[in-house]
Amino acid sequence: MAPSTSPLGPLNPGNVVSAGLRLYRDRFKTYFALSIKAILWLFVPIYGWAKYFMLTGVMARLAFRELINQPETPEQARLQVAPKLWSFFGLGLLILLIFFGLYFGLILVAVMVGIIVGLLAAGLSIPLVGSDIGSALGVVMGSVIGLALFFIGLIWIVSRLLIAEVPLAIEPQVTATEGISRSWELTKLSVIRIQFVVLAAFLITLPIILTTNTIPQLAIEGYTNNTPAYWTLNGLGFLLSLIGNVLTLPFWQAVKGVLYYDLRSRREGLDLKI
Amino acid sequence: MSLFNTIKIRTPESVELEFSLAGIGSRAVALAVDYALLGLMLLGLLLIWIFLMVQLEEASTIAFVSSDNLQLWVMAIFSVLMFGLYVGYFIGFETYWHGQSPGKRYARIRVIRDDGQPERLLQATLRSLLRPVDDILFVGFFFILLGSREKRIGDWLAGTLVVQIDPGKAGREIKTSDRARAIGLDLLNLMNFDPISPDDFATVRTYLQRRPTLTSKAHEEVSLHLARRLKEKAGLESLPVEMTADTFLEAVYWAYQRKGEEREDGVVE
Repeated sequence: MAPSTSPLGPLNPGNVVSAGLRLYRDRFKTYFALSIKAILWLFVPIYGWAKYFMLTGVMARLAFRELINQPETPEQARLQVAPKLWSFFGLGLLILLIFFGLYFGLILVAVMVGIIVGLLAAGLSIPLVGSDIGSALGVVMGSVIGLALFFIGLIWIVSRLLIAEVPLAIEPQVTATEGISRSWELTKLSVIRIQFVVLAAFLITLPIILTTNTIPQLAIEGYTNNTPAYWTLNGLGFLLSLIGNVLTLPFWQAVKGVLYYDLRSRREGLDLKI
Repeated sequence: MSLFNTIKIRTPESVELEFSLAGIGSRAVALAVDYALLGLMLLGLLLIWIFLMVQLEEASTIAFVSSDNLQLWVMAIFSVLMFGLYVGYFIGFETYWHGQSPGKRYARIRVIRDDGQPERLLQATLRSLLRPVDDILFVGFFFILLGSREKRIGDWLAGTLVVQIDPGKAGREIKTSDRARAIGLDLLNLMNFDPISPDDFATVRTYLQRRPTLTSKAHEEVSLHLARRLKEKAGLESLPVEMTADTFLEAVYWAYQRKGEEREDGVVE
């Protein structure tokens, strides 16, 4: 493989995913080792969670560095990222809090808008089509609009914060809050494109998710609770789903690294150098 | 490091063409878009069918034909339509659009034959008929992922490849201001364009195409960087007049193109 001289530049959603997968496959052992460490650290509260976030950042960083033709070893990347260990924890906490607040905020707004739309629809249609159909129409319209608002709002915000840990891992000096604002700024014009990236990446992980998560769960359903067989199967199922997570985590992080490169090319002309 | 598989094809006319293969990501995007559209169409058809059946249920006879009889006919016709839509969606689009469906258009990929020719009805039919087989247990997915030519079973049978469409670099029109063109005319005499490589020029062009989507900070930084580097390369000590980096880049772009045209004219003569 000859080193490519011309930079990649912006990519379409499918190519973001393909590139992420290619990077992961080409350095599978490296990513896999990092992923095992990351997932195992999850079992240690607080300190381990910080480590987990940091290692996910390292994976995205490795993918990005490869795209700008300055590849790093995991050790090099870790040395750069390690001083920010607690920033990663802070970022995780911040995002959790944002989603928590957002979730309830969105529910409140969605319910209120839903009620208003429902009442309006019912009020306008009852004189025209009678009270039975009119009120049914109000309920349907209200709940459809409310639900749509909730989900679109949720998807929109999640997309805007999707890559917050990536700038933290790649850009020197960036803090947890700056990571969030960087993600916010970079994703500004790309929310729809990001949906396709996530959708395609999800489709690709589907075979793994199905074999390690969904099917074992369905198999366990058949057994009666609290028998030894049930608990053994549950344990095995848990182990299998862990393996599934270990396999898919680097893929998502590599895709995020590529997405970060793509967005920085689009928004900041990263590739425009002579 | 190459991120995408490429393939060289020798056409029957002995022309060698190189394509980038579509890649699993683009194919997943295309599939998602197509199945969403197809699903919506099937849902629409289903709703019309239910509506008709309910209407027929209420009436006993329509124009001397018993409703029961009509219901059977409607059921038969709609079953055929559903099947036709399911199979015909891909055959129709891929034949009519020469290897593209709406999803493939969005994902910027296209089906071609192994020899580089456009896809025709026969290939589209084979690919479409094999689609359910490829979908079961992700068979096609693994074929695409593991094969060097990214062919699912339908592709093997039909003798087709799925490739990326050239991103169409010429895509967006570049607007140069009158002032930049006037300055460009001066630059043609003032500036030595020889040290500026075609790659450098391509970067300037790409910048001018993409500048509307850059953040204002990046806009400033990138234009300054490019303008400085060009000035350095061309050995330009000072600019003829005061101008922004953007205007300078537009002027250089315009002048370089003019030079290119002159050169071509020279060859013709």
